[in-house]
Amino acid sequence: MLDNKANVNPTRSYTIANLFFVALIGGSFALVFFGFANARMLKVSSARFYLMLMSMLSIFVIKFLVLVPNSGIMVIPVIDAVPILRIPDLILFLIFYHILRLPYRIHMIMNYEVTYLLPRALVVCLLSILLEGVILEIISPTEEG
Amino acid sequence: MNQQLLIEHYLRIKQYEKAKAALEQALAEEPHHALNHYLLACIYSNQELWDEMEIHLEQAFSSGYTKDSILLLRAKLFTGRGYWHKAEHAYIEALSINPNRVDTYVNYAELLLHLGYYREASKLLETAESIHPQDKNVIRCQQYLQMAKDNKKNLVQHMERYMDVENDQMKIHIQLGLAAYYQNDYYTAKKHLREAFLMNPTSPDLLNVVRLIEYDAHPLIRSMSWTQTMGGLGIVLCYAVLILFVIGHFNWKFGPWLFHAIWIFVFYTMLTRMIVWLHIRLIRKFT
Repeated sequence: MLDNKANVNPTRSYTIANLFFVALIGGSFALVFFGFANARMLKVSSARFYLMLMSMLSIFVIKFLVLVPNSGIMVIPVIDAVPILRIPDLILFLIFYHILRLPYRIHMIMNYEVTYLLPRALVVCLLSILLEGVILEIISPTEEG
Repeated sequence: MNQQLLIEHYLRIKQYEKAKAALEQALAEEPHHALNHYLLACIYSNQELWDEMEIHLEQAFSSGYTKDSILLLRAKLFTGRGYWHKAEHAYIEALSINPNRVDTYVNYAELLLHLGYYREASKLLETAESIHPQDKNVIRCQQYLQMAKDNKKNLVQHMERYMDVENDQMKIHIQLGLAAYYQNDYYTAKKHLREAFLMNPTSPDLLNVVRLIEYDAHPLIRSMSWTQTMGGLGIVLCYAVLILFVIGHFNWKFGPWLFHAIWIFVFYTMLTRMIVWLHIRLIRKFT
C-alpha cells in the first residue's frame, strides 16, 4: 500500500485551534496557506480536501465579490470594512477546524506531537495582510467613483 | 530448565533488566538457543535499542526460530528506524506466511495509523477482529479510533470488552485514563493514570503523562481545560469574537461587560498556559 504513496512519513500537525490567530491576524490567505499545509501534513482524504477547497472558494466569493467595500451592501470605506471582512475568515476557520478535527485527533492519539506555528505564521500573516490590502484596493471602487 | 522459568517470570513481572541478565547468562551457556535470542531481541525492541535488537534477531533467525515471528519483529525494527516501506513489506510477508496471526494485523494497523492512513488501518483491524474478536490488542486499537471519533457509546462498549479480556491492571488503568482524557474528563483520567503510574513507577513516559494531566485537572488552572473541552483556546475566542460582533452590531447594553469578561478570561488562560509551559521546561531541565 505504501509503495503507491508519495508522502510516506508520520503525520505532523499544528495545533489546529491556533489557526484562529492566523485567521484573525493574517486573514483568509494565511488561513488557507496553513489550513492546506496542515491538511497535507495530516494526509486528509481527498473528500475532506475537496470540502476544504469548496468552502475556501465559497468564502472567497463572499469576501471579494459580495462584501466589496464602497459598493453593494457594504457602502463603507476599506479601513472600516476590515473588521467585518474578518467574519468570513473566522467562519472559514471554523469550517477548516471541523474538517481537520478527526485526522488531528487520530494524530494526537498516535503521535502526540505538534509543530510550532509561530515563526512561519508571522511571515505568512504579514504577506497575507499585504496581499489582502492590495486586492481590496484594486476591487473596491473609490469613494468618488 | 530452572533458568528458563526464571526468565519467563522476570518477563511476566516486567523486570526487563533482570530478564536480560538471565538471558545473556543462558546464551553464554548455549549460544544457539533460538528462543532466548528472540526474547532478548523483544526486550531490546521495548527499550528501542535497535542495533542490539538486530544482532539477536538475526541470530534467532539463523538458529531456526519461526519465520513469521522474526518478520514481525523485523517490521518493528524497520518502524523504529523509520524505514516505513521495509516495515510494510515485512508485515505483508509475515501475513503471507501466517494470514491468521492477529498481532501482525494489529501492528500493521498501528504503523498505518502512525503514518496517517486510518481508513486502511481500520480495514485491517476489522479483518483482525473477524479472526479473533476477543483479542485485547485489536480492541485496544479499535478504542483509539473510537476516542478520535468521539463516539462515546462505542467507546464504552470497547472499554467493557477490553476490561473483560485484559488481565494487566496497569494497562486497564492506562486505557481508562486515556479514554477519560479524550472525553475531557480530566479528574477521572488523573485518577486512572496515577494508579497506572503507581503500578509501574519506573516508567518515564507514564510519569510525563501524569504530570501533564495534573495540570489539566488542577482547579486554579481550570480555564485551560475548559478551553480544551471546547476544542482549544482558538475555538473559544472565535465564538467570542463572533458573539461580540453580533452584540456590537445590536448595541446590547451588557456588551462592554461581556467584552471585559472575555478578555480577562483569555488573559488568565494564556498566563496559566505560559506558567505551565515554563514549569514543564524547568522540570525537564532539572530532572
